Amino acid sequence: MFMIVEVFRYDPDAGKEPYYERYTVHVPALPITVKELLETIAKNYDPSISFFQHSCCNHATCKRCYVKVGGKAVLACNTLVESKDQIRIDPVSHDNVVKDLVVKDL
Amino acid sequence: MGQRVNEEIPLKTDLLVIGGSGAASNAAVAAAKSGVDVLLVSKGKVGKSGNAIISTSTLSIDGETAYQLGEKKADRSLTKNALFQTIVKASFYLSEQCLVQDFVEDCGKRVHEFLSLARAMGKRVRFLAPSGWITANTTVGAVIREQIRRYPNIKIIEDAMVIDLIRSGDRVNGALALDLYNGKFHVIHAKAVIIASGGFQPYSFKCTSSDSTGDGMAMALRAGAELADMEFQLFLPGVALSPPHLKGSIYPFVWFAARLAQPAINTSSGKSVLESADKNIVSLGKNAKLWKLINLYYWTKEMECEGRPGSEEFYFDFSSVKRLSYLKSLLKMNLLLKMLYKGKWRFGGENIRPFHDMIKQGKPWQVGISSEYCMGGILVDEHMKTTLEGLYACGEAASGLYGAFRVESGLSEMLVQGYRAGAEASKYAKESQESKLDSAYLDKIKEQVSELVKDNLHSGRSSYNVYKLWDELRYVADTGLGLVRNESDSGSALSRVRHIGEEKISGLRVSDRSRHYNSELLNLLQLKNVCLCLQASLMCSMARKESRGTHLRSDHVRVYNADFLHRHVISFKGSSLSLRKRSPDLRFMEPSREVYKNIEEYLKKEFF
Repeated sequence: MFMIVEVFRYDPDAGKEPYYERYTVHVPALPITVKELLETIAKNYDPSISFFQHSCCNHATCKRCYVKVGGKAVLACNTLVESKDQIRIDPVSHDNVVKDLVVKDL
Repeated sequence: MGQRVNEEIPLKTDLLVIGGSGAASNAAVAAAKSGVDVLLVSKGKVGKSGNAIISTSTLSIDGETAYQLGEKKADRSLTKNALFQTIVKASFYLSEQCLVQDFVEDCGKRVHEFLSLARAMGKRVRFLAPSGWITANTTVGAVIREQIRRYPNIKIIEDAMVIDLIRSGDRVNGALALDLYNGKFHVIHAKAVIIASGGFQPYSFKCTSSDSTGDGMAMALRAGAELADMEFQLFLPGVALSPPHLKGSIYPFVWFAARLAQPAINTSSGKSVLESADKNIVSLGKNAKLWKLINLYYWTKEMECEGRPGSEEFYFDFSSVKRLSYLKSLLKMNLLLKMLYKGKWRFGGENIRPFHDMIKQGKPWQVGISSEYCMGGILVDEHMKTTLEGLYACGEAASGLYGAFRVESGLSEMLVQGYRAGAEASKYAKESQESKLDSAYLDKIKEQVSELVKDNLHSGRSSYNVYKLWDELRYVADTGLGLVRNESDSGSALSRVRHIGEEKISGLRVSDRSRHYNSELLNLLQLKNVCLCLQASLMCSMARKESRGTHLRSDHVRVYNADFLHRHVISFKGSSLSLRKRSPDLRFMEPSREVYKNIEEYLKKEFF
């Protein structure tokens, strides 16, 4: 099945204003975690998206992979995407974005 | 976009410690106590990275010392000598016995210090018979952070990945790190370096953190140090495959290992995995901390196909457990978890209620076997010194304590070895003269990183995507270095991983040119490390034509002490990896040179 995912994009090196990129993502089955969804986008559509990846406990313990899904702050590693309805993924705060979905000091 | 430039920050210290978990914090503390300046560089945040914060958070020592520390329920028959023997026998005699001796001597002191600090911080710790303690994984992380905070001569840089060591002549005297958030290079000049950066789990199903990409092992190997025992990967039976958001949770294993109401363990066709098992051996698992190895052995015997971690489903079936017995166990578990995590149904960061809802609905827990820890790592001597001057290693990044199977706590190992490495390396740093950084060596490393983000000149090769290559490497690890191995699959995997390294990864350039949190670059740097460690592991696995510990061969099931009582050691010879054999230190306990017909017979003869 396909689902539409909008991802917040911002790269301070690119000299562009932030924007949302829209991906039509093929997902073999639901539910999957938000992290798995982002990995699917990076693998099959756009390897340039950045999301917290470098020191993930994957078990909701380090609490560093927060993003906002539909405006609500969630941990990407253990939050499920259960329906194929369009979703929007934002950084957990827009004030200190390092790049795309990664914010400083989490 | 044009050529990107990485700003450079030069840094100088007596001792550089690489890592952000307990081995690194203990190394830093031991060194700081001796008065040297320490710089700790961690890929993640200190105390929030590595595997210590997602383990069972148990720390064990010998029973005698636990009793002396005031635990009246400690089993005093588990003397230091008994602990020594258990580790050596469970290592299948590949432990370096000098390292085991040091571990047995130091573990009580180090664990006591760690837990005393936890208690002083108001954290909860509970004794766990026969000779250990359990705490919350959040406590482990908090204590690690607090340890470091207490010493002003420890400076830390977090969220920076050390890319390579700097070797000047025959000595390691620095490293190059990349700040992941802003793309700046830290050029670190040190008198000595300790690698405490954790393990290597290359598989698709693991219960460990994303940090376990063998970074420290790979950089040590590239600098000229040696790796050993890389064929020995520890797998954990009983890790959740479902519900989907709890996949990889070790809670089912913890329930089982806590000796609570015991479910039947069945295969997907309903057969009990322990049906044909030797009952004496199974009972040994209850007493001798060999549960993982014994279950791993019997579970894999029942697998339909030769084992990729996580590919085979098993079931913890509670249908024959009496309701009262289950409820009593649930109460016991909930009281423990509530004491540790102060919240209902909490296990670490996870809400484990869905597991118990499944039991209410009459559904079994679906579990698999996941990758957990690597016994292999950097070759060190009893001073935690590698074969390269100025370079030390400890914890999961090092090898030699647990040989073919880790029977004791990984957390105790990290505390003991971290502290020892810190003490030894600081002694060396104090006694040695400062040596000049080899600028040509440094430039070469910088150039290699800069190349990865340059426009791709080899257009044919740029079609590979770093994330797809991750999948390829995981598949190679699953099939060639899986739960049960054979010559043909491991051989194909070795050819495959060499091909991936030479033809795909070496020419790969990232499409993202950003200096700021470049996920693609991070993954490519890690991928290179995994690829190198995987080659080393497969070479060791191919050379070990027998079964030993967690290295199970379907084509060589015997434990062949006559020919294989040695460690496999990997190093670079020119541009290729080369394997040599090394006899472990057997100064206290000599093994029999017997040939055992399988792992089961080895356990029976050694442990009864």
